[in-house]
Amino acid sequence: MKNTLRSLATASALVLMATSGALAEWKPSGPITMLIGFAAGGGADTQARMIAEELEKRHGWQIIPEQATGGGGAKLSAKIKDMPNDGTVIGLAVTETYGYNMLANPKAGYTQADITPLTTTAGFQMGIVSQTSKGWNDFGDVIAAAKGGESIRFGTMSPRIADIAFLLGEANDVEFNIIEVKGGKAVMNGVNAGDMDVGFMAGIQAKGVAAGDLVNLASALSTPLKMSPDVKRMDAYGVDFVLDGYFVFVGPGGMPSDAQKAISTAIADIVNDPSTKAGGFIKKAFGGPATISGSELGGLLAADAADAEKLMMAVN
Amino acid sequence: MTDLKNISQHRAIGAFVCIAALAALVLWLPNDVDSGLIEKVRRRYQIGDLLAPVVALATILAGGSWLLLSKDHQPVGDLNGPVRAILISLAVIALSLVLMRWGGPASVWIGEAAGLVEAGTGYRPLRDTLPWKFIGFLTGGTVMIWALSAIADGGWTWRRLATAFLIAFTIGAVFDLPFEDLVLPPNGDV
Amino acid sequence: MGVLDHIFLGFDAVLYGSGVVPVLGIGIPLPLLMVFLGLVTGIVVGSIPGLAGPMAMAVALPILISIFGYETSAFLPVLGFLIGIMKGATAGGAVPAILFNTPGTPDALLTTLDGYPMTRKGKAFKALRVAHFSSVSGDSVSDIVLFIGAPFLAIMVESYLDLPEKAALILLSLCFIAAIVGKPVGKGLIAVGLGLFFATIGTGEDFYPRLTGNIVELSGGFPIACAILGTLVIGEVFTALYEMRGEIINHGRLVRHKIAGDNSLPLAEKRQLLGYILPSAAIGTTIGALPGIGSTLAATLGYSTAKRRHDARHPDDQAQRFGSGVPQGVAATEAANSAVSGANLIPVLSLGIPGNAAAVFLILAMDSINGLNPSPSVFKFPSSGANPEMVMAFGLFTLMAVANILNWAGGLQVMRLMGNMIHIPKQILLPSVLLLTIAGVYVQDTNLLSVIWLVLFGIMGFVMRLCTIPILPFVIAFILTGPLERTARQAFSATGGDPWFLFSSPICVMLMAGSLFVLVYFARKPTS
Repeated sequence: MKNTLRSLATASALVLMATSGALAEWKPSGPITMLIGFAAGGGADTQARMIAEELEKRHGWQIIPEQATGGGGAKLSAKIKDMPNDGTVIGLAVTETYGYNMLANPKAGYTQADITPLTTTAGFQMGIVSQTSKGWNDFGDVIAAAKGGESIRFGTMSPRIADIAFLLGEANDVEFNIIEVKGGKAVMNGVNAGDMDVGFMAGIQAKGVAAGDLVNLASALSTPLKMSPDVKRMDAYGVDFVLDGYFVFVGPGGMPSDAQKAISTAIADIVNDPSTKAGGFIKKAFGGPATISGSELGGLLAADAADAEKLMMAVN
Repeated sequence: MTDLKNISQHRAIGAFVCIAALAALVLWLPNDVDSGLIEKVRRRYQIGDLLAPVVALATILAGGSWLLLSKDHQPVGDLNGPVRAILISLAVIALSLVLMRWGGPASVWIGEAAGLVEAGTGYRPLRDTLPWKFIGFLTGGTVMIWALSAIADGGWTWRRLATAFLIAFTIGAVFDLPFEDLVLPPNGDV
Repeated sequence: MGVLDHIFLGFDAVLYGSGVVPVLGIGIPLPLLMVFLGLVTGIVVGSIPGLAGPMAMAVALPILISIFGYETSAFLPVLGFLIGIMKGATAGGAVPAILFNTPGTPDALLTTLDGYPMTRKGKAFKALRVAHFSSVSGDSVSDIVLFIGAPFLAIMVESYLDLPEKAALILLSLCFIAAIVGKPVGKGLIAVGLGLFFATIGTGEDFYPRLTGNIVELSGGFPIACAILGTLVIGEVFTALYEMRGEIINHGRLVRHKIAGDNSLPLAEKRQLLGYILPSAAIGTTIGALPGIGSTLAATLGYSTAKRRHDARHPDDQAQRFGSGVPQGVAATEAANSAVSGANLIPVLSLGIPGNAAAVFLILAMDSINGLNPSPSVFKFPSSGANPEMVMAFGLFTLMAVANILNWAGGLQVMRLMGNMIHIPKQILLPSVLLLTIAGVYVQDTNLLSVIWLVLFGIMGFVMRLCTIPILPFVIAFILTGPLERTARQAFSATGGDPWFLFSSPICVMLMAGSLFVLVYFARKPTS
C-alpha cells in the first residue's frame, strides 16, 4: 500500500513539476537509481540503504537501490558510465576503484572522466593487525620476529595493499609470505583462524580491538587510527605510501553542477548527522563520517591516481 | 542422423565433451586469461588465473575419456523430441522476455500518443510508478505461463489466460508490495 | 563465572534483554516472537519452488537492521529472525523436492531421490511427515551438541587445520561427490569439471575477469543463484515440460499425483526411522563443526552411508532399495542437512567462517550489530565476572533451541499447508515456478542478463538430465570452486611457493590419499 501511495504521490509531483516551471531547489526528473558496489547485507550495503531511506524522507526523492557487486567497483563503474547523467543515477563505490584498481587494469573500461565524484561518506581506518595472543605490540616486533627466522604470513585484501606489504618487507630487509585475499573480512577470518600472522584491515578490526582480541600494530593512514591513536604510521617502518581510502558516491560523467551539488550536500548532511539512522550507523561501523566533496574530492581522486602510479613504479 | 542414433550413448557424450574441452583449452583459454598457471609477482611465485580453468577442463577431459573407453551399448536414440521441446520452450521464453522488457515503454509511448502522459516523458521517470512499472512484468509473465502451460496440455483457453494473469500478478505483488526496495524486471535495465 | 552462569544469563538476555511485545494481551519477549515469525517465513519460502532461505535472508537483513537498529538490544531479535528463516527453510526445502522434484538448494537435491518417487506412489504427505520428523530430530541433536561442546570443539578443530589441510579437505569432498553420485564415475567427473569451469568464469585474482570475453556484467562471475536455480529448478521445469508431452502422447492425458492410501507416520515407524536419522545427524553435526564445508556434503554423506547400509540389508528386493521411494532415504538426507545448522554455529561464532550460504548472513548480521564479534575469545572464560559475548552466544543457542521446539510443535502444519500446492496442475505450476525464479533472480541482481544466464543454465540442466549426467556434483563443484581456489592460492603463498603444499603435513597426505582411494574404489565397482 505504501508503495502505491508513494507512486501516486510522485506521479502527481511529476505533473506539478511539469506545470509549475523552474523551481529554486534541484529536483530529480524521476526516481533515482542507487547502484551499490557491495554485496547485499554487508555494512557498506546497509549504509547505502539507510542513506537512501533518509534521502527519501528528507527530500521526497524516490530512491531505488540496486546491487552492482563485482570486480572491486569495476562492474558498477562500467554500468554507471553509460547511464543518464541528470542526477537520476548515483552509485556507492570506494576511492580505490578510481585509483589503483583502474590504472592496474588496462581493460578496466572506465576512467575518472567517466564518473562525476559526489561525496565521500566515511574513511577506512586501515591498520596492520594481529591477534593479541601473538604478543606483538607494534610492527617493529613483527620485523624482529621475521629477522629472527620466523616465517611471517602477511594477509592483504587487494593488489595495491599487497604492494605495500611487499615494500614494508623491502624496507626492512625481510621477506614476508604475502597472502592476497579479497576483502578485509577475509583477512580478519585468516588472522582469527591463525592462517595469517598479520594483515591489513580497514576498520572491521574495531570490534576485535575494543574487545582486546586484536591489536593494531601500525596505522596505514596519513593520520593516526581513531581506535588506537598511539600506534605509529608506516613511515616509521620505512614506507612513505599511505592507504587513505573512502566510501565514495559517484554519478555518471558530466553531471550538471546543480544536480551534483544538490545530491552531494543532501548525502553529506545525512551522513554528518548522527541522529539519523545512517549517520549513527556510519559512526558505529566505520568510526565516524568523512565527507569530502566538490573540487576537494576531485583533487583527492587525482592525487590517489598519481600515488597509485608511483606505487606501481616502486614495486616493479 | 540414423548413424548417430546407434552409437553408444557413453561414447557420444565422451567424444562431445572431449572435443569441447580441448577446443576451449586451445582456443579460448590462451586468449581470455591474463595470467599464466604460475606467476612471479613481487619476487614470489603465486598461482595464476589460468590454473583453475585448466584443472577444470582436465577434469572434464578425464571424465570424457572415461566414457569413451567404457563399455556401454545403450544407443543414443532419437534426439528430435527433446530438441524440439526445448526449442519451443525457448521461443516462448524469448517472446515473453521481449514483452517484459518493452511492454512498459510501449504502453507509455501509447499513453503519450493518447494524451494520458505528458509528451516526451518516456518510461524511465515512470519506472517506479504504478501502473507503468508493472505492465512489462505482467504481460511477459502472463504470456510465459499461458503459452508454456497450453503447449503442454493444449489448453489454449481464456480461462487459462486469466489464471496465468492472476499468477503473474500474485508473483509480482509478493515481491513488490511488502518490499519497496525490490525491483521487478525490467525496471533495473531501463 | 562458569558455563552454567553464562547459560542462565543467556536465557535472561532472551527473555528480558530486548523488550516485550504484547500479543493478544500476553507479553512475549521480542526475540521469541521474531524466531516464530522467521520460522514461519522460512518454511513458507523454503516450500515454494524457486525460492530459497539464503535469498530471503539477504532481503531481510537490511530491512531488519533498518527496523531494529544496530545496538546490542537489536542483536537477539534480528539474529532470531534470521535463525528462524534458516531453520524453517531447511525443513521447508523438502516440500518442493518431494512434491515437484524441484529442490531449491543442493542440500535438498538428495531428498528428491526418494521423496519424489514417494509422491508418485501417492505418499507425498507421508514423505513430508518423514522429512519434518527427520529434519527436526537432526536439528535437535545438533543443537544439543552446540550447547554442550561449542567452546571446546571450535578451538580444537581449527588448531589441526592449516591452509594446506583445508585445500586438501575440499578436494576430498569433491572427489567423494564425483565418485558417489556419478554412475559411471566418468559422468560424475564431467559434472564436477563443468561446475569447476563455470565457476572460474569472471572470478580470479587478475584485474581482468578471466574468460569473460570483456562482458563487464560477468566480472565477479555468474551470480550463484543463476547457476544453482538454473540447473536445479529451471532444468527440471524444462525436463518436466518435455516429459508432459510424452505423457500426453502415451496416456492421452497428464498424470496427476494424488494422495493415496495411508499417509500417516505411526510411532513404530518413527522409531524405526531413528536408526537412519541418528547416524545421519551425527554425520551432519560433525561436518557442520568443520569450518567452511557445509550442509551439502553432510547430506550427501548421510544419504550415501545410509544407502550402503540399507541396500545391503535388502540385496534382492528392488522395491526396498534407496531411490525407489523409501522413507529411509528421505530421513537420512533431511536429518543430515538439518543437523548442520546447529553445529555450524561453532565455526561461525568462534572463527567467523560460514559452513553454508545461510551462515554467511548470520555473520553479516553480527558484523553490523553490536553484541558479538566472532572470534576465539567468544568462548573464553573471564577471570572474574561474565563474558558478555559468551552470554550473547548462549542467547543465540537458546534461540536456536526455541526455533527447534517451535518447529517440532507447528512446523509440520505449515509444511502440510504448503503441501497443498500438489493440487495445482503441474502444467500450470511449472511455468509459474519459472516466472517466480526469474523474478527471484532479478531482485537480487537487477539485470536481464542474469535472467538469460538463468535460462541458459536451465538448458544445461535439461541436457545433463537427458544425458543422465548428475546435477549434484556440478552444483557442489560450482559452490566449492571459490573456496578451493582461494585456499589453494593462499596455501601456496603461505608456504612461500611450495609446489608440494598439498602434501606438506601428515594430515594433508592422508586427505590426498583418501581422495585418490575414493575415486579408484568407486571406479572399480560395477555400475548398477
